[in-house]
Amino acid sequence: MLNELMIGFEMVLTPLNVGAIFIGVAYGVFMGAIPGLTGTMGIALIIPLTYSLSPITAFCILLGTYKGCLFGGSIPAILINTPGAPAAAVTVFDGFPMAKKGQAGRAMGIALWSSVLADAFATICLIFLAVYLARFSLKFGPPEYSSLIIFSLAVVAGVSGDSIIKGVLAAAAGFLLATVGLDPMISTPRFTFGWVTLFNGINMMGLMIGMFAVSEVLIQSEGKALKTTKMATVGNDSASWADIKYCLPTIFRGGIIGLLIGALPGLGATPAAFLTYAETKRVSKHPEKFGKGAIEGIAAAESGNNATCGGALIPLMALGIPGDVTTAVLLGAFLIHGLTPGPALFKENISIVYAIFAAMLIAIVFLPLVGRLSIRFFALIAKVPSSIVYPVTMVLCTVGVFGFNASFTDLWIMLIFGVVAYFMRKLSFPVAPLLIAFILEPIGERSIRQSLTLSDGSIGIFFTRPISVAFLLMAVTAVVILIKMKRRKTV
Amino acid sequence: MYSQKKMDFLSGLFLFGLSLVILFYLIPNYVTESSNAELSPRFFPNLAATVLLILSFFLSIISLKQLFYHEKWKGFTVLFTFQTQETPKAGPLLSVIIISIYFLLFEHVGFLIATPPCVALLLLIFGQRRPQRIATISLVLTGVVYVLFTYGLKTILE
Amino acid sequence: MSKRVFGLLVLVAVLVTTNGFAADWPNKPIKLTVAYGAGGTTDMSARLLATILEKDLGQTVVVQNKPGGGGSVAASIAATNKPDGYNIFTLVTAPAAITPHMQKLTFNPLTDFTFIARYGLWHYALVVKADSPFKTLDDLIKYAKENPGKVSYGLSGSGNPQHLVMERLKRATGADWKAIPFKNGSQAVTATLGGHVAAVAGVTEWVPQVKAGEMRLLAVFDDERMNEFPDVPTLKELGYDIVAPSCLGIAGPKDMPASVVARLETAIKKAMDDPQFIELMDKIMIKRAYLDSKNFGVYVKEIYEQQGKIIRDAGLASK
Repeated sequence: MLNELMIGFEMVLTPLNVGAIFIGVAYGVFMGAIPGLTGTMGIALIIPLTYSLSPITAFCILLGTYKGCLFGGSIPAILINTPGAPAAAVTVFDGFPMAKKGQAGRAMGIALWSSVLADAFATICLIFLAVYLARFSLKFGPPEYSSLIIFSLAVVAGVSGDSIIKGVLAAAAGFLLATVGLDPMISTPRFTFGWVTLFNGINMMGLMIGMFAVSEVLIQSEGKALKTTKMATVGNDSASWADIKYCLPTIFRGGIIGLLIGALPGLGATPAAFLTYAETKRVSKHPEKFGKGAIEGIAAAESGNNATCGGALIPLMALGIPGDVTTAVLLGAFLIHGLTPGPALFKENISIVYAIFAAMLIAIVFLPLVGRLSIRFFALIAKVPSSIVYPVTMVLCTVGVFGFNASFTDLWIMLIFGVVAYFMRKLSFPVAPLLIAFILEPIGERSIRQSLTLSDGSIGIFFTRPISVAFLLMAVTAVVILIKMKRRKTV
Repeated sequence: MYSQKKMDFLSGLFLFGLSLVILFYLIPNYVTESSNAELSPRFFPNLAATVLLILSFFLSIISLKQLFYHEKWKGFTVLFTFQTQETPKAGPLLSVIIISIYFLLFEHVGFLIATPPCVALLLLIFGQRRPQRIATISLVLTGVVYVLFTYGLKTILE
Repeated sequence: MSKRVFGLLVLVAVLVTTNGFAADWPNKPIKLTVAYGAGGTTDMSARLLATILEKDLGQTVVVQNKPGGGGSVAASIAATNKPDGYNIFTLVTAPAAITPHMQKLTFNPLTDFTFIARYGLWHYALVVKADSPFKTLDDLIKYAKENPGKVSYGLSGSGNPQHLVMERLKRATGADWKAIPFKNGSQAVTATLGGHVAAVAGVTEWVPQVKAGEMRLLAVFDDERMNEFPDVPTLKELGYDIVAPSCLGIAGPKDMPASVVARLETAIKKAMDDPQFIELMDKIMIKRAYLDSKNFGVYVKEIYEQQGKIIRDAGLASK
């Protein structure tokens, strides 16, 4: 295996390929950093440009982009309270409070190194354990997914802010909003009001950018003495080795959670970031610091987020199954270059497999390089008066959300949820539970209804399968712990 | 403290009313019932709306209780007098209006014409007063974003 | 101003606005709306088509994605566009033949579009896991008959072409199987690999697994065998007269100028012989199947009516 990896490195280490990785990472960080533009879109846009390249060079660019994007989303999350990608919504929790304290550089440094380390961990797991982990992920059928989502919802209640009632209210609203669109099982309309545009539901990107970015713009427009004040006095501080060392256990936890969630088709990076955050907060000795600028909070969010890259490639490489939209786009790229991912690739083109692994490892080396440059570049934003930053943010969000689907409806969705979140924040309702419930509902509802169809309506199906039972027990435990913690606080 | 509780009470009341509308008007009228599925398409909307209904009721009750807990009359006066803690700000409302106009213009006359005036107005709201700076930023931003999206990302902005 | 001059002006104006732009078409970029998201196989084929058309027409062809509703979102927007030849879109199976029978839509596929050319067909098939006890379609049908409700199959959404085929098979043979809709075809393939459902009825998402010998094709729903898998019988050969409807073509809003349609039609026909296009379509497993404007219209009408009847018979039609 190591021998093959060496051959892979030999294939990749040409100036052209290494340059391609570098360009990919830089382009990815840039795409990730613009709110509304995602890794999926970034990769989809450059696939046509790779038609004429050799497969290896093409994958150097594409995988570099993938990795760059995952990290890039954290930059605007920390600097302007606007996640560049849905998963970075978790980075906002502690990243933005740190920026307000004047520690944006430190926050971005922690985000970067957590990303790099968790990514490295997940990539190494991908290289050595792909086949085993892929077989494990196949054990997850509809009942297992149902219980996993129930567990996630229970854990997420732990990040619901000061008032559990308000957190659950926000989550219920997100749950309800996610049911808009065609019914997942029988395709009948729900709350579409005869409007074809709503068949696929409320656009997630519009909702997310609206709730985080637009509401922030609206709050800032109240103009509390910010006429020409600087955003934060930052730019020169950075993360110390002590910080990274302090966060290592968290990063390791994020690496494992991200890897496993990533390896399960259909979940994606956002639940991984949320779960790592909630779990880190639960085991922390200082849970009260979370949400106010805890460095482990950022480390948790970013490690969970970035480890999904290695995770998501497991079913793609080992089984030929794309777990999310980004890997589906990557699958297309494989096909275009005449490669069929899956067991056949391991049999017939093992050298390409290891070349891809080698490219991923090289990309991990480039990420800190590009990352530090871009942190220095984006830290300049912090020196710009906020009277300029927020109008510019508004335009970037607009074109970003519009560019996603070329849909004006999505822009109105963004504005409406911007206003909704503005009032939620004014009335101190937490915004994050709404987003996470909105993301989890479709997966959960579909799995539960699929399970019940399989079992002809008997709920026994959830209690007779070991993995499902384990998650349900963990869900109960999570709720019990949560209630205990709250009680201790109030007494 | 008191006004926070009052706002909680009012938002609880609002959500309570909203969930009633969802449960008894929106779901029966806009979610098709189906008999050939194990769980009705209405099950999950109903579930979420019921949670909304119950918890918003609790939120109102709890905040009302806290409002009357210490000084009965203070809570009463807070509840029934209109007093604003902070003076209402014009910024957010103006911003929403400008953004709406921006989207309309974007859709009907295109990005290049819509962006500069709207950015200029937003810059004004955010307290930028130097005319030269406003002009430069709104024009340069429009140009850079347009070139980036049209040629770099091959997205049509119109 | 004399009446004659005024009349002349009106005539010129009319010529400029109607014939005028049809004659010098295209004089500005053409917008091609893709009914699925960026990066999918349909998107790839459309983007390559756009680059080839660009060279031929001498104008930029910009691709934009309007995914949603299985292609219905793009179609509903296209129906309201100006028929000036600068707005074209990919018309796909669901909005052309299926969704109109199942949902209330804002367009009628037969009357609201100008059909330009069909360029592709998808391959649909029923696939099981390699170690599944079902070696042939008849094995599966026999088992499903004897054990009602025990067989379940995955698919990428209720009411799609493969679902309708399976419903017709159920009706024709009495095989009692359950449809389990997934978010997309790959998740249905995953569930089949994991043994959570017995089979998957899907578009070509199963190719990697079948090539690797992890999954086995039982039957294809096309009207002829696939070039890549010549040993697999079609449903027709197995004695069931069922073919999955399929449609991937370029259309525009109704009343497009005939000259523009003719120009696009020939350009697409030419593009389909481009070696790069042939290679891509083979790789992403979309069958190249050209139909000109007229025959494309006839074809859509045919599958529209045929599927309408099937949907009404299956009780899936909107009331």
